[in-house]
Amino acid sequence: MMSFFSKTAFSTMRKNKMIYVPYLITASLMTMLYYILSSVQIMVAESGMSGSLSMTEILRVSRWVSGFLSLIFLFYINSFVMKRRAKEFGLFSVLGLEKWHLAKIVFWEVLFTFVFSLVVGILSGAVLSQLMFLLLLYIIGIPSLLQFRIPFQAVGATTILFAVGWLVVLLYSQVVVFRSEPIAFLQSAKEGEREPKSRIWVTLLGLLSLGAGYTLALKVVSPFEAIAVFFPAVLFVMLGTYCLFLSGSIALLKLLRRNRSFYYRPGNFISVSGMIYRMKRNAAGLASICILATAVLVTLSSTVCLYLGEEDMLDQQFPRDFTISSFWPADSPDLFVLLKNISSDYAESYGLEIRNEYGFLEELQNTNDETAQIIYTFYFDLNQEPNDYAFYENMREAYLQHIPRLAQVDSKALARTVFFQIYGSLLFVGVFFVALFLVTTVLIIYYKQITEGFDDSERFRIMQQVGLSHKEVKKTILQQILMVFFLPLLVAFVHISVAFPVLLKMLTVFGMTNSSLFLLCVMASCAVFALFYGVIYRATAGAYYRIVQNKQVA
Amino acid sequence: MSLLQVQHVKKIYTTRFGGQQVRALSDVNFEVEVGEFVAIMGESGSGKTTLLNIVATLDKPSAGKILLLQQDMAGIPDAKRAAFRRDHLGFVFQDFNLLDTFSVRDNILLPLVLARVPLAEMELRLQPLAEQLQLQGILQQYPYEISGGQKQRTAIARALITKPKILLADEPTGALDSRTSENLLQLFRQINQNGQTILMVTHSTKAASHANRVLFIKDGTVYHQLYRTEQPQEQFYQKIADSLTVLSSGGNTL
Repeated sequence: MMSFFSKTAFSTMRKNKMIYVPYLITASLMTMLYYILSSVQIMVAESGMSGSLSMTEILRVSRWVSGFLSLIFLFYINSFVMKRRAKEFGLFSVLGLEKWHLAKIVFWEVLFTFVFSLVVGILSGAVLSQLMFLLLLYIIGIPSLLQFRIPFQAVGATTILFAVGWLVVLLYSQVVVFRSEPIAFLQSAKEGEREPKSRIWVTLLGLLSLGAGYTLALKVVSPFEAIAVFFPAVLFVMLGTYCLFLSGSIALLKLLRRNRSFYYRPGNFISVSGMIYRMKRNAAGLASICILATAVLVTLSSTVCLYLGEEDMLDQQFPRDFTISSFWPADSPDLFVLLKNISSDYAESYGLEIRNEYGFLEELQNTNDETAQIIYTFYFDLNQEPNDYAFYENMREAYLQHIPRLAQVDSKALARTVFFQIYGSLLFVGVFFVALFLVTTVLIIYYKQITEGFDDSERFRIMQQVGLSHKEVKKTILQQILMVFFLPLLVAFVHISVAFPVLLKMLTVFGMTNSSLFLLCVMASCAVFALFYGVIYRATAGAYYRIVQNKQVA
Repeated sequence: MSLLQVQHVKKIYTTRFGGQQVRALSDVNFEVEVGEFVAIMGESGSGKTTLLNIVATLDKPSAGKILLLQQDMAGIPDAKRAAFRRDHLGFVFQDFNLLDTFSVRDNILLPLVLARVPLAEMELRLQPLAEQLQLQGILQQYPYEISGGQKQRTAIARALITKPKILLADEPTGALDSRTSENLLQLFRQINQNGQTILMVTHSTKAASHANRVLFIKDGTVYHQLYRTEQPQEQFYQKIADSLTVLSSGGNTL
């Protein structure tokens, strides 16, 4: 038999469907993403394929980062949900439930959410992780057979991480319950909500911080400086974004209100006043959306660019298909002829010819080694691709027979597989991070819309009594949401434009110098994200409109 | 001239579960002349607010007709309903229905902004109204910063600024203390004496005694009516109170 508290917990969750269903879905999705990353990491590690070590490392690091971010996002979303439920708790305490009882109800809710999201997340993750493993193999260009398995370690790691996460959520919720006062719960939010003051200091701090971040980003000269400067700049820009959304937006809106010929028009009149009124509550949410959007754009464009730019990077590093470098004494014979002969002999033994060959000689400074005073690098292509893999494997041996101090024998083809492994893995985890950011963004937007829908339905009812038609209501809502909604997107675009040079410099560390390709990637990412954002906007504006519509007059 | 004609208006609600029908209004007939101040009285549940909502085009009658200036309101298409309300009707509600997002000034101007009246014209109409309703000092304040009486005066200003044919008031003194109520009713009379037609729904005898005519609604129909004519307010008050007593005791002897 279920206890009173667990029953109450279930029934309140059912009654708050509009809040809890998306909450459960998001929690499950986050669990799933983490599980997939963990299990793919284990599958890669156990596959024993070449390069699995570096790939495992990339996956491991991203698994930790994504786990950490998931917990932060869950916490943030939970605090939002708790706020929405304040009124309900107030009603319960007026009806005679003690705080201890409320705490029990909350305990059951969190427990249920944890178990539900864990089971659903791991089950769906188990199915999807097989597909994802295949996707990863496809991205890095290795064919493989599908073997269905659920790594026990991944299940364990996921359970432990999210158990800890939900425990923190539970503690926070209990603190909220115990620190709450019943009367504060019941006081209507309508009364006493003051028009926010635009605080000049916050605006100034925001401007300074954003300016500092932008200056850091724009002043970067060398790639390594870019890496050093990137994270401080990101922090500055984040702080600046929050401050400016918090205070700057209100200042801007008040400026709009002062412009009477703009303000006293039906749409602007309702939107501007509504936005000023709720900007204080809104600002943090909008700033979060903006930062998440920027994170999506940066991750998506740079990982896609690295993956697509693979040939460029290879061409940069390997002007020809093969590179042989070796040390020689200063008084060596004609090295070009020597290396050409060795190479063509080796190629001929596989029925191939060399072409486009050239050599490059560099004198080593400050060397006492008689046998290594110059370094000679020989480059060549083949007339066709060797179909025998042994060509690559025996190459080094063949050269060692003739060259006493062989430094390196590199082939573009082998380098290519390594490149694909590393940048493919990066793209793979990039997609995961984008998914994580997007899920969070969508949920924040959704909650914002339904909260505002409830707040606004009363206002629109009154306005209809005063003479606002259905059509005008719809138009005004669209305009209002549009303004609020696309502000974060617009700011995210500004952020990424400013970040462009510094990101480009960071990419050169990886050997990626094709700036037009990166520009293309950034623009494509922006376009795809804007499209996605637009779809979310349509869907949530619909939900908002339905809520407002509920209270309409005939 | 007859400004408003209510003819055989009937309103039936169907409950959400099952087909149970609730009759709010069975057969209501009355007329309002230009310049009248009419009060509609009745017990709670007698259908008076339903009637006002129908007159206000916020609700539709199940049967019967409402004519405003000889025009049948049922003939107004849904899309034009809001504009019609905005242009011809003014509303004052018990709970004021002011918007917290707007200052007092913007609350008053709201219907004009929705009607796209030019800025200069808005100012022109706002000034005398603000003066008459003693709102000059608080125009820049917000609804949550002012008293109940000031809120209701703001609501009246919002209703009057469109120069409506008829002002509809639903329990306008319901949320006010007795002194503020008295001031407000004096204001209604003053507005009425300036030529504004008023239709007010109330269950307060005090409020009704300020009107020229009082209609009593019982069991969904107009049961009785009283004219004030030249009698003093106290006497009219007493007459209304007597009628109500008879009404509530269920007598048929009036």
